[in-house]
Amino acid sequence: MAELSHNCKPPRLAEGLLALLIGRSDEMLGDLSEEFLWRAAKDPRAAHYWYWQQVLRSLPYAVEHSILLARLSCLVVCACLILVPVLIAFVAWLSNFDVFPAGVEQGMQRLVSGQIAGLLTESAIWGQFPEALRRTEDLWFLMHPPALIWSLLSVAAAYLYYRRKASSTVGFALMALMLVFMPYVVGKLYIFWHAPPAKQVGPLLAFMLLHICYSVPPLAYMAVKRLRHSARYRHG
Amino acid sequence: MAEPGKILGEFEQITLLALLQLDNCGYGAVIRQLLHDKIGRDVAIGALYATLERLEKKGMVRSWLGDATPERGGRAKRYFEVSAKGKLALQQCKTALDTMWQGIVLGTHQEHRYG
Repeated sequence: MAELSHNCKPPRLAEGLLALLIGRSDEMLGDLSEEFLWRAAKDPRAAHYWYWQQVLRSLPYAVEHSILLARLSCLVVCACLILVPVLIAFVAWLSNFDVFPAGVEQGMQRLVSGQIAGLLTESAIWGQFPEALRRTEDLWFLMHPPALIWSLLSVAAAYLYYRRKASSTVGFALMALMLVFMPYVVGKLYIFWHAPPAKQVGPLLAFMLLHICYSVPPLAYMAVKRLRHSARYRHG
Repeated sequence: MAEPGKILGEFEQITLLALLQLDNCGYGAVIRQLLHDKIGRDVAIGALYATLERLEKKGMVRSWLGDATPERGGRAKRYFEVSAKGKLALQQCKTALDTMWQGIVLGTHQEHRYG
C-alpha cells in the first residue's frame, strides 16, 4: 500500500456535500478519506478527480440514507397530517353550509368544478369552520364506505411494499404519496373532462377528500418509521 | 430451501468472497481496493455499502464499529464479517454454478452466423 500523504486533504466541497447528506462522522466518509490519502501519495490531482467521482457515484445511496432528507420528509409527512383536520373541518362545513359566505366569488361554481384547493385559500370559509364543527351532531359525515375500502386497499398495498426487504425508503415515500393523492388527482381530472352534474360531484368530492383523511395517518406512520430506521442504520 | 440464485446476486457473491479473502474482517476501503486489484472492478463506495447493508438485512454479514483513526478524519471503521448463513448461501451458489458448468466448453473464437 502506498505511503500516506497527510498534507493532502479531500476536496472540501465534495466531502461537504456527502457530509451534508449522511453526516460528518459517517464511516463511508472515513473510507473515502483513507483511500484518498493512499491515492494522493501517488498523484494528488488524480486523487481529487477520483474523490469527486466516488462522491457523485455514491449520491443515490447517500440520498437514500440522508439524515437531512429524512428530516425534510418528516416535515412533509407532518404537513400532510395537518391537512387531515383541515379537510375534516372542510367536509363538516360542506355537510352543513347553506350559502357561501360573502367575499367568496363563484363559490358554488368552483365547488362543482372540483376547485377545492382554491376554496381552501378563502379565509371567509375558514372563518366558518368552527361554527360548522359545532353544528355537527355526529361523525357519520366522516363515514364514506367507498373511500374507506379504497383507503384500506391503499394501506394494504403500502404495507406489503413496506415489509419487502428489497424495498427502498425513497420508493416507499413516493408510493405513499401516490396512494394518498391519486384519487384526488383522478377525481379532479374526471370533473375537469366530464363536467358531471352537481349531484354527482358531491359524493366524488367526499371520496377524494375522505380518502386523504383515512390514508394519511397510517401511511405517515409507516413513512416516518421507515425513514427513522433507514437513517438510524447508518448513523447509529 | 430457497434457490441459491435467488438468495445471492453476482455482486453479493463477489462481496462475500472479498470479505472471506480479507480473513472475514474487512471494511469499506479495503474491500473496494481488493475488488479493484483482483478483478479490476471500480465500485462506488455507496454501491458497496448498499450491498453490504442488504446482505446484513438478509443476515449474511455482521458489522461492528472499530476505532477512529486520524487518516480517516477521526471517523470509525465499520468492519464486516460473513455469517454462517452467508457461508452456506455462498456454498449453495458455488454448487449450483459448478453443476451448471459441467460439460460446457466455451469456444476460444466467436462463431459468426453469417461468416
